[in-house]
Amino acid sequence: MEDDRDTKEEGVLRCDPEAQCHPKIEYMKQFKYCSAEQRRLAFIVYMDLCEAKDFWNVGIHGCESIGAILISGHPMKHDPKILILPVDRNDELSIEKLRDYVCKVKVDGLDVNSLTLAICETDSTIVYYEVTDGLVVPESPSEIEGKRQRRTWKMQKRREALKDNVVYQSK
Amino acid sequence: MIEIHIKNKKAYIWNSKDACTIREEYRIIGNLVGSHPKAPRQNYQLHLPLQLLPEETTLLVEKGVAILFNDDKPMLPPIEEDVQKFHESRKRSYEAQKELQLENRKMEIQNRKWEIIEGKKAKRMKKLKSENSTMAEDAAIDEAALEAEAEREVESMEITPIPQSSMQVQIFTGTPYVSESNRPLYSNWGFPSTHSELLRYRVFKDLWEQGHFLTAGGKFGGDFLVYPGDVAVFHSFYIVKCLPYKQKMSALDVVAMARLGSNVKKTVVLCSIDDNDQLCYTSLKWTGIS
Amino acid sequence: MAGKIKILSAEELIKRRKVADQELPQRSGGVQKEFAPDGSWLQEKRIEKYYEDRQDLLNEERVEKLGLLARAHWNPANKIVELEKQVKFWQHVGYVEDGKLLLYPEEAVFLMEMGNLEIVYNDVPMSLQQAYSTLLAEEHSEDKYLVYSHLCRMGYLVHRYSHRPDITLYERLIGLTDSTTKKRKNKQNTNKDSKKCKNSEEKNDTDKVIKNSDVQMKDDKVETKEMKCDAILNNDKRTRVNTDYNVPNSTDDVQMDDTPHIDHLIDSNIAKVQKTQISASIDKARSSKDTMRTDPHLFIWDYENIHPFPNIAGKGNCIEITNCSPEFLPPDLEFNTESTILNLEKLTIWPKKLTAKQLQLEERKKSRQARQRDLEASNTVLQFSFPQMAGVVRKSTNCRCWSEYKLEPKKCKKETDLEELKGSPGGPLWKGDVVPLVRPSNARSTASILGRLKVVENIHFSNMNCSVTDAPKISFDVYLPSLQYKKSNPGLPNHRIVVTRVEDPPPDLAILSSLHQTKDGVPLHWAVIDSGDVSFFSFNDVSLGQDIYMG
Repeated sequence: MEDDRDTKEEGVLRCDPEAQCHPKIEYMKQFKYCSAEQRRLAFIVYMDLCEAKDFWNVGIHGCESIGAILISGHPMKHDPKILILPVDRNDELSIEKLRDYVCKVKVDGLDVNSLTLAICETDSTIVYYEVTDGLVVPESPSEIEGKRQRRTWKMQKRREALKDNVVYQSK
Repeated sequence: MIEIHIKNKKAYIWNSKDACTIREEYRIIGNLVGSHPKAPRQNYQLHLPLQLLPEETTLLVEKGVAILFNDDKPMLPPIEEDVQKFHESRKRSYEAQKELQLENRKMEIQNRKWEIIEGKKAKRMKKLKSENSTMAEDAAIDEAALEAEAEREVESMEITPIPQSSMQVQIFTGTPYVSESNRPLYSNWGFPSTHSELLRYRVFKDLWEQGHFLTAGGKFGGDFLVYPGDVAVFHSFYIVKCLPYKQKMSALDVVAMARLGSNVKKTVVLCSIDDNDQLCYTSLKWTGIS
Repeated sequence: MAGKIKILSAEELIKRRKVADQELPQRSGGVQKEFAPDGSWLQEKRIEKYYEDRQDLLNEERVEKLGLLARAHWNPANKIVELEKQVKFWQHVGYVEDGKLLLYPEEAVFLMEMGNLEIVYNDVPMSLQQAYSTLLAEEHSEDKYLVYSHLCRMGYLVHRYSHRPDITLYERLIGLTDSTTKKRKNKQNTNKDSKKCKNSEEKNDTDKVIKNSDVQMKDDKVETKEMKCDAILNNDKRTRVNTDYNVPNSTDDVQMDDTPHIDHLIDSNIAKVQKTQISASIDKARSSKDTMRTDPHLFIWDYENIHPFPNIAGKGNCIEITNCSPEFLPPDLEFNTESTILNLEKLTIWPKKLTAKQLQLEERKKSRQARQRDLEASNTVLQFSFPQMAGVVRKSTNCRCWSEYKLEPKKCKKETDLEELKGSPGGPLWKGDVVPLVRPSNARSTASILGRLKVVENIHFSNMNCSVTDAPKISFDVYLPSLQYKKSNPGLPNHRIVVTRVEDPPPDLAILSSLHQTKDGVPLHWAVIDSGDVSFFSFNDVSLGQDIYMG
């Protein structure tokens, strides 16, 4: 993950990642069923999760059954692993496709009944929505409260880290 | 049997008994659309009629608990006999009310008899005193006599009966006094008929059979709102959106739909019928990753 | 089966009277809703309690004193509801036709729900259910009724939509819309008010007008001189118009050259030193009819038709007026066309009174100007709903109010544009068979020039034919409750409502713009009905800047 940080500072997100020959891009090229566009999206999401969202154990997987590159990771250290499918904002979807993705996705040993869509804007803004087959009961007030606390804690930590970084840089 | 009246393809329930039964026994919510008799100028608490969703109507009929009546025809002109009957009943009601009113008044007077007597006495004394102010104080006023006089007056007090204009009348909500022959059944309900109606109905029925409570979902931008228990006590779980299985949408549309639920702590559920004619539900939820 | 409808006995009826004011049970028991059923005793009790309350609530019946109930008769042949006699609610609802007091169906049903009315058919009162199926028989009428009753219950005064094409936002801002009702109360004030604000509104147009008149007036010998007149224009004495004209001295029919008098006027009326342009200038202005329709602020003076104004600002109380057009004199004065002695004391409005109120008016003017700036910023130009009026010479002034004035058919002068062009320095261009597509008068906006050149065609949504046959229409005018409200002359509504259903497609741009066409600035709301639920939405306009404005 260290090397990722370096490349981001060089502005990879704004350049064409293919030209940069990032090792992860090279790695993704082995998935023959995927296009360069898919690699680009996957890379943007990968970088976002590593750098901005502080995910743990971020990995890149190819999934031939749905013909896509998926990213896996833990939102927080002790959260269960989730699978993320990068899609472009203009990608054509339907209920059928969404269900196909959720039901057919198979990534080495990981058994999930839900998939997180990472919808990428052209300006590399990414929003994450969870798609699940069947009915999912919304979080109860106590769960929401717990999540909120963890989130503020995380934000706080991130802010502190940033401050340290700035201090370090100015020295 | 629950009586549902269809007017312009809209289903109404006009009596309170049925309106309560369907809610308590069949988990059918409907929507009250009339003004409340006691506090008519507010929108918070409404009253009969209870308007039903077409899905609710079909479900009740399918379960064999409701019959549909045709309310499309305007009121038939009342015949001479009806008019006669009506006048008689109103007259009877007036007579009865007059009697009751008299009795009530008498009771009231009896209950407050001593207050009235005291009042009368005091008035009389005052009058006498002012008349006899020049006369000697020793001309003691005969209190007992006065009291007796007052009491006699009270006993013989004339009570004027209420005029007809102040009799109470009922403005009927549902139509009373209708002979069975004047209540034609509604035969061509015909819901669901289109593909989208069928989808909506199947979703409604399936979720209802799972034990949920459902209402119309326009408020939150969906087809239905799904509650885990009675609507009055619980928040809804799901915003249901019915879409054809293969209908194309962009990823942004998915965001837009998922967004409906994200601020109100609800899950957005996309419902459709797959290629095997099976209902399928797909839940959309914001992850909170930010 | 009919037994399910509760018929109250005499005892119950009498009892109802006593238990008049109970508190309504709260929806959801007045406590916060819970997340999910947990099978607890508490939740169970709560639901049980709610059901009991709901039963009580629904078992409530409408009971009224017979004497307090108005009676209306249902006439099935004409499908109308006829009220027996005028009652209290008559000031808000109903209409008169052939001397009958009639109620609209929605009004009748609503009054019935409010416990104010008994609708009888052959002497037998209807139930609410019968009223629904008899009176609200038309398709979608119950949707409209739902919106109607929803708004009425909230206290608004709701009327069927009546099309008022004749009032613009500008007219509303200067208070022309409800002049009749106001005048009765506060004659002097309102008049000066509206006049003053008119002045300030038009001030910005002055320069344009003058420019235009310069173009037209090619006669260089004519030396224009400012002349101020205080004249009474209207036959009805209430409207006084303050004029401020550029009038050529040499024109034959201007007889006045009475500088001392004018100076006197300037002294006494400081405000008038400002070059205010007034409504009379519009009256006297002239423009071709079709340019007027598209551009209401392009006025051209018609000097031939400006009548001499009598100078009534003399020092004495009596002045002599010679050769004056009768329309500038108060109607009840006797005069002959040659010469008239006018006794100013007889006039109801005496010029000096005005000075007393100048300060106050100045203040008002400032606020008006601020408002007007806002108006212009929003790209709304001076718009009169009756554009012809600017190009018309007023012949008769028998109108009592603005709307009447506008209704008077007016004739515009024929277009002489082309003739004038031929006489202009660029005249030769217009002399042949091939003439330029663009005329100077087209230089109003990029759009109009492009339109003339047919380079880019403008799309007017208003002209587009709606392909949908049952396009939504405006259903209701909504008024805020007010003591001043008059059914016969309600003025502009505070809101307008379109009723649609949730299953209807959202309106397309053509429908939207055709409904938003009205220039009076009344907000339009869309009531969307989803099985008994009403929600209100509205579309808002965003206006972007214009590239070229007035060449």
